[in-house]
Amino acid sequence: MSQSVKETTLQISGMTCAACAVRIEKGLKKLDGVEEANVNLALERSSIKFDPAVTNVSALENKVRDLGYEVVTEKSEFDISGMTCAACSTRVEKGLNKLEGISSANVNLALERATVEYNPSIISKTDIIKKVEALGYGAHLKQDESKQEAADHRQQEVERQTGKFIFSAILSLPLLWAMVGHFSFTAFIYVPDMFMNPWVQFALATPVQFVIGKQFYVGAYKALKNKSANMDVLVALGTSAAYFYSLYLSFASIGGNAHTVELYYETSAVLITLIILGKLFEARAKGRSSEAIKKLMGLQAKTAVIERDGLEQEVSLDEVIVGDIIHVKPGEKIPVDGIIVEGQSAIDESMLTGESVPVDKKFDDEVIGSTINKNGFIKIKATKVGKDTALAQIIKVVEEAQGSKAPIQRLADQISGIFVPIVVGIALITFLIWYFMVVPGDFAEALEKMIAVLVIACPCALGLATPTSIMAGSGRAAEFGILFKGGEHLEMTHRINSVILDKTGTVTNGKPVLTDVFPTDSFVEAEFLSLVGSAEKQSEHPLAEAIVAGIKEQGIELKDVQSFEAIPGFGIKATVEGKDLLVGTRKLMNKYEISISDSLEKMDTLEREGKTAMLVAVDGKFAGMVAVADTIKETSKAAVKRLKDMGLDVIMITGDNQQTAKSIAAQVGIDHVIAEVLPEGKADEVKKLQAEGKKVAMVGDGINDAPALAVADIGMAIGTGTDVAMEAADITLIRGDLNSIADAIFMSKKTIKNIKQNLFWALAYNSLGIPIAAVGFLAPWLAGAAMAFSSVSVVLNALRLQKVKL
Amino acid sequence: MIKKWTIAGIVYLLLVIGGYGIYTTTFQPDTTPYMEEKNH
Repeated sequence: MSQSVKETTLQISGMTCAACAVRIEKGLKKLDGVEEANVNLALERSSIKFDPAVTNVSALENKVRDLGYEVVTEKSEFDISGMTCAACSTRVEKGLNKLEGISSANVNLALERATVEYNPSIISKTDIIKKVEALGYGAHLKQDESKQEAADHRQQEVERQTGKFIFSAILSLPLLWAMVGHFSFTAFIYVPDMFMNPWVQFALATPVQFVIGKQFYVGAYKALKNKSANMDVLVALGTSAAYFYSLYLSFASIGGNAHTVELYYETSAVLITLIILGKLFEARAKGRSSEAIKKLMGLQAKTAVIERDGLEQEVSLDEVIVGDIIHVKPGEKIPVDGIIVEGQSAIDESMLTGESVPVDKKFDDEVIGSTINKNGFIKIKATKVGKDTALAQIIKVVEEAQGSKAPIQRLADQISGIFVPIVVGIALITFLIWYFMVVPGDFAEALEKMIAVLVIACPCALGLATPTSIMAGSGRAAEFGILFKGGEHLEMTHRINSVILDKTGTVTNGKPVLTDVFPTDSFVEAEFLSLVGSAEKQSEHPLAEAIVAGIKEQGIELKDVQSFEAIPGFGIKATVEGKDLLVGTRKLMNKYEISISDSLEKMDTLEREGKTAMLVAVDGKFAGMVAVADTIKETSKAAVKRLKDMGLDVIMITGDNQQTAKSIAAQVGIDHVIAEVLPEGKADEVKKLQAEGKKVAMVGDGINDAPALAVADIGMAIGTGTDVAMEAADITLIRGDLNSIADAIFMSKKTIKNIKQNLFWALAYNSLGIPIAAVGFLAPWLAGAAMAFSSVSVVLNALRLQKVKL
Repeated sequence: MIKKWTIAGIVYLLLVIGGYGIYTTTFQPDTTPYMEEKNH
């Protein structure tokens, strides 16, 4: 993929089944400059990779509209200040219209208001405000709108479908009532004479057919226009056949006794009512499966109290910019990511890390947006706002995972794409066989069988099977702090049979402490430590930080450093007060040919205790050693046991020497240790295991483990989600706890099992339903009910994943 | 939205029933043979 490729997301409405999603994908891919297009039916969202030099977002949007679907945009109003004449409003308008992601911008000079229609996945309200400000005017979100919750288009869809369902149910019930009079076993039920009248039936069925059923006709027309067929085609064909045949019979009966004619108005009306009911259930269930995202979004604070021009003012979160000083009272949510500039407090970060004990934070400490300030008044300086905050990043990862496709889904898409034309063929054959062979000349009977086939064969359940499970599964995992980056990772994770754990920061807390200091006789301890501390101060390695912290605690002053070089996997080289210092491993000393034979015994003892000893040389001579020890996470031992019980091969990998590594491994119950591995060597170790045919998961803290995380079948990063880890890995474990690994594998297994159940039922349902309908054992209205039921059952089965206990 | 559709449905149903009522009282079509057959 070239460097210039851009990615965008479009919210699409009007899709009814997997065939629609496939069609949009194909249509977009045909456009010049589009490299990849992925459409998720359940999320109603498309992610597109394109070359901005060849095409642009509006071209993509137009293509989607051409295909017969709608691109969902948001509309916002902004109060604009500083405009003096018509030229100003034109300038703002033009400036906004040029921005990518804005469909239309209208500025009203008299009202001092801009109405902007935009794609929220490309551009935010803050971006729009910034643009207006860059043009030299002031902009604020219109006051009442800033407080108003964004209307959820899915909720509106549910309401619209509910209304339509009630309307068509009111008109279909009398028709259903009339129908029971036709059956010999229900003939005792009283049917009002009125409902038997063909013209009353016609009057009742017509609005259902064309007002409520309009969506099927429109959908079918769009599909056929694009030379494809979808479920709308099946529904429109089936119901129209019943309706128009009844209309013909109604006319034919004029003059005769109208009441004796057998009509099929109820077939079309009841069918449409049931399909609408199915869609209604589906829309509701879809809404529930995106609950995880809603929960995450709900964590966000709505407003922030900021200090501007010496005044405190409450503004909406959209208006907070980097550098703002924000006041956070005890009990309040911290609105955005930032650093504390005044005060101290305990911060509850459980919503992001799962860690229930509040963390003490003081001046200069980082705080994360949406965490709760427990007990002290603090002022923070905003460092990340809007899309950049940790929470926004987490939401993005979860959304992308939910919207992505598992490879297993491609199969379902392909099947449903070719399904409809085949079904229309089978339906025609059914009609012909019945009309010419089974009941020669009985048009009504043959028609009824054909309608049943058309209706039962709809592949909606097949299209919903995978995406709903992926959404529910990844959403549930996110609630436990496990972020899957995509459907393919959710699918891959259950195949893992080997887990490689990085030692530092993964098995251990990654916060080692200075434990032993042994200078040689030629140094006083304070002087020795001062030199070592000064050199290590420059390093960002966790062990170096531990040494510096330990030395500072003793009140020893650190000196200026003239030069510094970190040698990854070996140690450091520095010049302090004219003295050349080396601090690091045996290998470092060997590299610089420094004799360390006297210290080896002591070093061995320290390492047997699980400590990491670092050798120090000053001006080419051995000067002593310092030792640090990392503490093992409380949960590591139990988590390793859980992984072993699941039948996984657990391996620990570390840059430490054999002895230290083995000591730590023994404490947590790991038998297989790969020690003394350089950061770049970790990836090779992963490859070695893969060459043995193993499916390997690498778990690390994401910075020095990045190459190994990328090479592994599944890379899991441990972290709060604020660092690079999330970019490098396939799964981010927000809780530092190793139990999350087993949880992730468990969740993956559950999800894949759920998908397989769904696919099985959807396919079995379609393939069993068609012959039953063709043979004539299924009345059309029963086929409609069965179809609605199948979609609903698939979605409900997927929703079971939301209840999974970890 | 839901209310709008519900009211529309009920009103339309009443209109159809009312229309049929007016039609039958005005033109009095003879439905006896069918009802006799059905109740037989």
